[in-house]
Amino acid sequence: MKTIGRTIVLLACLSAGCFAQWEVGVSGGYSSPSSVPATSGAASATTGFAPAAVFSIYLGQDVTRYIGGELRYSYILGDARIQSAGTTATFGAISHEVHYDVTVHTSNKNRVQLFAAAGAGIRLFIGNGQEEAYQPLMQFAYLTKTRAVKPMGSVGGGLKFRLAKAVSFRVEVRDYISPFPTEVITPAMGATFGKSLMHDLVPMAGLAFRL
Amino acid sequence: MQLHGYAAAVTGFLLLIASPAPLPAAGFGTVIPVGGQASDIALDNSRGVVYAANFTANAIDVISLSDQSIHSSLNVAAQPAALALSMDAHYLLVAHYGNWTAQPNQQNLVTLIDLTTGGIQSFPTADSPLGAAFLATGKALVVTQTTFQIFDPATGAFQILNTLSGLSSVPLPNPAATYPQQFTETALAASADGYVVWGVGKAGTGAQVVFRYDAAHNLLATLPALSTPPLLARVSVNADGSQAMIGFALFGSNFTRGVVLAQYPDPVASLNITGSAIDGVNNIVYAQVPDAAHPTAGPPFSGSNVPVLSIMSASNLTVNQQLIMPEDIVGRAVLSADGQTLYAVSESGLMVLPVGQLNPYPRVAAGQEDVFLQSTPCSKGVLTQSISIFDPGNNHTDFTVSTTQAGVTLTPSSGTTPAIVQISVDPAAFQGQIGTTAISIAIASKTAVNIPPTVRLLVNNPAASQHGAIVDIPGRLSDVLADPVRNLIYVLRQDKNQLLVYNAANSALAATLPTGSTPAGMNFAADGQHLLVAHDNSQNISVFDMNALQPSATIALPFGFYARSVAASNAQTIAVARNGSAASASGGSSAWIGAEGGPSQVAVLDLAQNTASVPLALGVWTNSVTEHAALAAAPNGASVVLADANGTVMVYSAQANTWVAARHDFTALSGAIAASSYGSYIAGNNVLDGSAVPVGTLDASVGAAAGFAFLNQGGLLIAGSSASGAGAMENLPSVPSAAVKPTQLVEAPVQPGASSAFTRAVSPLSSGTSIVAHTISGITVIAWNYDAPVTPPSISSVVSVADGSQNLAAGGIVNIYGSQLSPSSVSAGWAPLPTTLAQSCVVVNGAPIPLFYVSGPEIAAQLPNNVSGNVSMSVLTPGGQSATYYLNVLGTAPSIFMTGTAGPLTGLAAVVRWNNGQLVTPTNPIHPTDYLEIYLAGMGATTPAVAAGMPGPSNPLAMVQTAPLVTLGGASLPVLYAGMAPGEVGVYQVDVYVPGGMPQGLQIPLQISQGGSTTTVNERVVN
Repeated sequence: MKTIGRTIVLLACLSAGCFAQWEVGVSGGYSSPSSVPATSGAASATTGFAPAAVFSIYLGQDVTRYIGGELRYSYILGDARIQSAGTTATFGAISHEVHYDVTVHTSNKNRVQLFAAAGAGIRLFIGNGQEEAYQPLMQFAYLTKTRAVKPMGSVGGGLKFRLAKAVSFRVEVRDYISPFPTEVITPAMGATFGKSLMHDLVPMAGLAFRL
Repeated sequence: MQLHGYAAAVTGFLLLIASPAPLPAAGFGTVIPVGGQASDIALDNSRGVVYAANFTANAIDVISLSDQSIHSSLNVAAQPAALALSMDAHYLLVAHYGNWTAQPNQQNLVTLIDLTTGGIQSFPTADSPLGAAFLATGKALVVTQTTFQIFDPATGAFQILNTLSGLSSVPLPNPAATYPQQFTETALAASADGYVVWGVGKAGTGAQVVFRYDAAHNLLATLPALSTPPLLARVSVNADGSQAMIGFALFGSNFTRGVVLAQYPDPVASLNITGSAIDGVNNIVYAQVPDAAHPTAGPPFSGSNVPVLSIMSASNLTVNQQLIMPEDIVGRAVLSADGQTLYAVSESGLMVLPVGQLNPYPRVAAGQEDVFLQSTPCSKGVLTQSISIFDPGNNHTDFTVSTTQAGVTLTPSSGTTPAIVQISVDPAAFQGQIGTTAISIAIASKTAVNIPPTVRLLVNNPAASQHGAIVDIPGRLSDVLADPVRNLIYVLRQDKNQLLVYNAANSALAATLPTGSTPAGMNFAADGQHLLVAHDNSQNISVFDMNALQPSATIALPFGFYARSVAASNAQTIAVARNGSAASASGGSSAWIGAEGGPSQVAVLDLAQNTASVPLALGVWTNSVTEHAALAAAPNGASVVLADANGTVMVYSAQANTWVAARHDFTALSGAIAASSYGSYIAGNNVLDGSAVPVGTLDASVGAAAGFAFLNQGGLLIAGSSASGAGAMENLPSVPSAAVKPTQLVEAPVQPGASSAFTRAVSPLSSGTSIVAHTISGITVIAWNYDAPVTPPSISSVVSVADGSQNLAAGGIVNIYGSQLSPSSVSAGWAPLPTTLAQSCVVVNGAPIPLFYVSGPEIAAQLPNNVSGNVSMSVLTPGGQSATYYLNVLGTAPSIFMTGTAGPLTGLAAVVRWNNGQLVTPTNPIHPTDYLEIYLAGMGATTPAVAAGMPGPSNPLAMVQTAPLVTLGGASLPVLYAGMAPGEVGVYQVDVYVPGGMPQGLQIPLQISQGGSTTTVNERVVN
């Protein structure tokens, strides 16, 4: 009940803008999504998205000296792909993520802050490659020009180092957890995928500006 | 330097004259008379005018491109002979030819006109200037009777580049009917980038000079040349100066060898008629070159004496189209910057030819080059076939068709395009002719601006006992060769400059590769990978990598050599090349450019360096043969035999690496030529031993030997006694041997002609499955066991070719399976489809049906449009008639073709997304807003009706009479078109739009229903 009460107070304060410690930030990183095993008869492959760059912006607010929240948007460039026996099939793809995380950190009066974050949001997967009648390894999966929206969980943590009164350097690692987008990477007829969840571990670094 | 004045002063010299109306066009284009004789033109795109040098009126006429009339005329000094416009259109340079015999009238000078200010300056030259061309440097190359000079328009200074005497010495005055460029005998032109100038001097008289100036490196190269007929002073250059059309010949920039890349075949001499322009962007040469078919003796024009503009490939001068012009081109031709309009000096002045906008002009063309009709047990009565007559620009153009051959009826014999003309042949008129009769069908039009092609009608009337499957190949074929390793057949087509590659398994055309001009003979290099092709009108040898089916670098022949025959041994690769008489006449220093035959020599090819050399001697004998000599290499590469029409036979030994035998035991030779791996040779009907000593003769009772192929110690002889008779083949167990019983072939082999004394009319396939003969209609494929007894055919099943189902509809395409259905595997070459292939035919309810393909176990054919219910089918071959097979035929039975391929995927439904032009598959799924093309068979009658065997028309389209319903996952799709696929036989096309809201999934049924029949395929649909 205590937690629920604090959360209500936090959200109420956010909506009312009752605290003054707002900040915006930009960061870049590298997406390392987990792959999913695929089998077709006796043959096997892995499929998923290629590691790629991530660009992110966020709006954050310290609700208290130790608790805050962030609304974050990330853009991830990761082609869809299938790999088997030295052969790789790729297909252009991108992702958009929007999520809100609650952060718990050391005192925001300190020059260096450690923080942990957890939250939820959505991830939009877009297959935007050039479709071809024949795609290598299509016995495992079809890489598809379409889009899929999936719920997403976010956990992670990092460190903020104040460079100046209103500028901080920030490094962090996030794990974005979402259902695998089988609309974009569709199991081929007669093929099966071994997992239904996808983890995307993203180390990032950036700058935060206090408003 | 004399200052003549500036803009205001010039105004007084500008004579505004009444623009004469363009002459009414007798053909294609417009003539603008200049009231004198034009000697040169320059196109000023920036001002929208053409400057015409009026040689006899001493003026520069300024002709507006907008209204095609003379707007003004600028008086200049006497005899303006040549023009050059600077690249920035600032200056117009005029060369005045003043080579008067009476010195007081001497006026050798150039006039520089500043087009921005109107200023005119004159600069005297020591002797008569003959031509000029501006360079990228802003300076001009000026050629006089004795010098090449660089002229700087900014300073008026001349700088002598080189001297060369006697580029022209024709004096003024001269008798009437001497044209301007007969005086100057010189022309030059710059590349579009201004860095290269090509030219020719002394054109029209004996020894000529071809020259090329490289402005970037200030290098002038000259090439003495002798030409038969003479090259006229007409020069056009491609964009980068790497090629130039001079007279009738296309030159490359290598002045050391292989300089003539191609030349117009069979040009005839003319005093002043010739002109050309190169469109480098579209790889086209526009040219008028008088030839034997259109000698163009000048006006009045009638009969074949008409001015003809040939539209040719800039690669090898293949003539693709010929248009009739109002009058002859007698000077420079230039193409507008957009390539749409050709301006040329013509008899009356300037001729404007809208070469880039041909569609509005009436033209007539035929849908087929050949029509092949064969009497068979299926067609004992009148033989019929249709040809389409059309206008490439979709105009309604009048035409007539005619033939002088008795027994051939053309219906209708006249009309308006588009039209279908039925050719009917009464076999009774061809009684006794058991081979093929070639008949010309002439197409004419009163209004068409093109020269319509002639259609070749081939009537083959064999008995059932004659063997071979004829593959009709249009055009003039010069050589046929079966690949010694690959299952391919090669055919040289001279009139289109093509190497045709056929798949020996089904005799279908597999590839078409361009050669040089007039390919004459071919053979493999010793590596067995590269095919060498000799040309009668190119000074090089084409090389093709037959593993890749791609051309390789050509072999450049020495000056003046045109190879006709080539053969490779284990040591040397040899060619026989004609070389005219230039080598002796000029001490071997001139490039001979000959349109005709002449003395020949043997050249040795260097395949590593892509060059060739001419040895002084062939062993202990002189290197001199006639143009009708030919070569044949032994299959093991040990030797090469040379047979000459004058009766000489020579033998080259690879082991000795020299010519080891030369004899003259005959007064003349022609026909077959062959070499064995065992030291025997064939020349004509004669068998020779390894020393070229005659040791026997071939059986002459079957006619002259047209071809011989050694097989081990024996060989195959093909012979014929008349072109329209049967061919004969003998399989000799040894050579020489007693005559064996000949087997009659369906038609005669080709016979030696005026351009080729020796023929290779037979070539066994490496697979040992069949033998290819070069015969009257093209090639004839003869089964290896052609003389074995044959058995009647048998039908086991008939299914739709689209999906293998037994849903058969009138007009549908079917596969007939069985045994002994045909003695050979042959595909129909083009539509309309024949009803006989390889002496096999199929009758449905007693009438023959069109055939796509025949082979022993399978026939693909099209059902007639007018049958339904329970119908009978039989196959007839030389072996007899099959038992009657019954099949149920519906009015409509749509079947989607399941014949698509993508990568390794086969059997895909023929459903194509317009979005990317690829078949729908799970990785190329259907999306909302897609347009789909679905290809089917069996959709029944159309409006207008299309006869079986004929392709679907494009204008108007043939729409199905029973509209189909198309659904995707149960939801209706709007049908945009349902009818025959244009250009395809028996293939229908349904175009649909996919709206939003369609069901999604991996297996969504796409269903087409028509007239109670339904066909379904499952496709993936994704939003």
